[in-house]
Amino acid sequence: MKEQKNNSCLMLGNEAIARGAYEGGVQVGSGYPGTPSSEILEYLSQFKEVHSRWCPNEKVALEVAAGVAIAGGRALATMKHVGLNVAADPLMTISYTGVRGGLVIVVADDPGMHSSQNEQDSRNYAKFAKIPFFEPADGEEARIFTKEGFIISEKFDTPIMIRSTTRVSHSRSVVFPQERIHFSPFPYQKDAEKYVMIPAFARKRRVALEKRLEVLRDWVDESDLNRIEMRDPHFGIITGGVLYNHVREVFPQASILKIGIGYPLPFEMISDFVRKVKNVVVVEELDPFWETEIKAAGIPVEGRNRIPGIGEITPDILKVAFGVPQPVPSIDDLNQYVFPRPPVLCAGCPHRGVFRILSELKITVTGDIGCYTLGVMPPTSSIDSCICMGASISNAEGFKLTHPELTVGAVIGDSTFIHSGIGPLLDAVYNQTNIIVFILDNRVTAMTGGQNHPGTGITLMGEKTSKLDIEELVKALGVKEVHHLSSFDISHFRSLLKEVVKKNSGPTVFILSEPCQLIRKKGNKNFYQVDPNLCRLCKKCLQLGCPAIRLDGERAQIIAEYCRACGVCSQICQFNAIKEEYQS
Amino acid sequence: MKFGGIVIVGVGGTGVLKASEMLSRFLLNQGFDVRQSEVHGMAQRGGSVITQLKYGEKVYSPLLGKGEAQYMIATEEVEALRYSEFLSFDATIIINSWRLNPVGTKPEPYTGLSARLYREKGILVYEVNADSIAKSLQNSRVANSVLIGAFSKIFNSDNENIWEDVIRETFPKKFFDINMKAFFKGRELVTI
Repeated sequence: MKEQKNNSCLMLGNEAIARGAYEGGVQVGSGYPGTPSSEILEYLSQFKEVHSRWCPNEKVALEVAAGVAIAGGRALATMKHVGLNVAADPLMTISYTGVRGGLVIVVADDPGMHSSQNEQDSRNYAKFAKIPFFEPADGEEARIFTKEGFIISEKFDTPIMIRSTTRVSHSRSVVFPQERIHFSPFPYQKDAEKYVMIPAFARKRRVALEKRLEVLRDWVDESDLNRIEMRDPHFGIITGGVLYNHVREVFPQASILKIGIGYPLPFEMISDFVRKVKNVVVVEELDPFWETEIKAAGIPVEGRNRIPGIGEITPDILKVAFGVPQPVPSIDDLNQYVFPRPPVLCAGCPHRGVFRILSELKITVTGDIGCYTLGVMPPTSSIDSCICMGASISNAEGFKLTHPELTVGAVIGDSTFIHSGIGPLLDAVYNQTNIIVFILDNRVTAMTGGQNHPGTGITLMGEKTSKLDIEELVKALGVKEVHHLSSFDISHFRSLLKEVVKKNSGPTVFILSEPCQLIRKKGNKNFYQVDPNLCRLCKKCLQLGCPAIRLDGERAQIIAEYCRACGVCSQICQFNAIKEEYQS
Repeated sequence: MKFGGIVIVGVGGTGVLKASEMLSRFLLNQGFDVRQSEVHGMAQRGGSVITQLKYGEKVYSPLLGKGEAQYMIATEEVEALRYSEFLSFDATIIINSWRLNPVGTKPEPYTGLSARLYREKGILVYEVNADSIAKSLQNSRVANSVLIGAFSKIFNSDNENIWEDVIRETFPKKFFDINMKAFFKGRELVTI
């Protein structure tokens, strides 16, 4: 796509993806927040011509987008890598049906697991679903590739996946924005044989799918999204995504085949490159995806034998892999003076006290995805498992089935419960599993930066909407015992929980509600202080792990500046030594 | 010089991301190609945070290698030490004279440890009392703009209009004035 370059600006990769979708005439953007993908829809929602929405989960998001595309509009669905697992079901079949309007699915992988529970390589999904994926190297490519995605999607009647990574999504680079192209949805046309995937029709589409792949294989060799940069004929690298940039920098003389379309691969171009250049190495992060494909096509290359397959590949790792001496001396002996500083639950986090009570009452706790995984850290150390969205409740059932003698509880946030926790809770009700579910309701999708969800009553576009009543929902699922209380009222919580444990006849649900301290408006400047005359030096308040409570000598001290006056520590203190200080 | 490198380090929630955004906008305005890498999500909950910034005629990788940064801006003194490997031996460091000890442990005032250790290596260190200045402006969140103000002086950037644009583009309108004040306080602090 040839474009006139004019006003440049600096954009986060995710902003550039949103820009590309906007320019490409997208009508609907849908997704579920997840680092490093969350900002795409937040940026897209700033364009009022586009309807952008958070969905309860990625499966819903992709199905909405697919519906738009089948009906003839252009749609963007965004998610992090593990979100694609949730959306895999529609993905596998929307590949069969194809689309009428362009459908672009953005998936952001997280090599190095900066903020994820695994580092799966989502490129495999494109091959699995037999759809093409584009892999941009920077913001400008992210913009162009996303925009181009809609055209290619329509041209070949296929969903297009854009695969980003943390270093593309969360890097800022120079982008040259263009105007939005005018696009009106195609007129609606019923086509049951194409879009109703009953076996008889699906078998026909199955054949069409393979034909489409054949056509795409010819096309990728023509596309200018892939390119060869000839330099040194004795050193060649095949690479794509952010690694292209690392390679350009570390090996300015290397000949490069830059992959823009990561599946299907341009084998003629690759053969041609390997014929012209000796010693070709495939440089890729995570799985040897391209290397395997290229070798299977009978083209000799190196790859995983030199490049590590675990974690992020940095320019420094490339230097080591290719035996390039580190040219610049560096100061690397000062980090010995440093203490670890892991992320923690914020001071004033409305759910810190809950973790304290769970460990106090020796409840075996299965965890879920969100800020509260931080409950695994000392001093609360109260979480025993964390697998994926919604798994806390179903994992807890498994724990209980195996060890009925344990008191098993599941902690799950409001957004995560809505995403994937409702089914598991229904399972616990249906199969009468004796577990306790703690819904830590902070009225926001917190870890990813405070996004709205169906329980907040506000849409991504900022409009007021219906607000899910979690308590009514839980009761409707058939849970007989539901306790809904403020998560700051931990004394009440403790006594209620003790009764529930004693009764031992779940499933029981606690809904512990208070807004996330990042969105809670504190009306005053009050804070709590330790009264040295009453403090008995028991240090129990320190077991909360609150950033505002520190040990000064033998005595706990509260740093007024950090204190958010949640009052949880004053309830933990047995000697009434922690009191609120009022400021006018 | 292939490219210039700057690392901005600190504790999540101390304005590291906004500080890098300001610097990136400024360098772009100066006619450089700019690439900047940041970390979101998990790393922002009071954990250690770094952003890496590269500028030059043409920059490819958004990531710095060992010894490739000529500048470091640290919003907290211990974090200044954690990322020492990125610094070249001719680096200049701006450290906010503020210390944050680990959760649960005794708070300590600023110790000057990182400044001392770096000076022993022959590194040029500017200690800037950004935290107290920000507090004197009734907004502890603008310490980052104080540090950027100090940087602007050290970087020999005399065009204050450009910085005004940068601050306007980086912050919401209602925070423009306070960040401008903080920026100029930081600028005044440094003599070179």
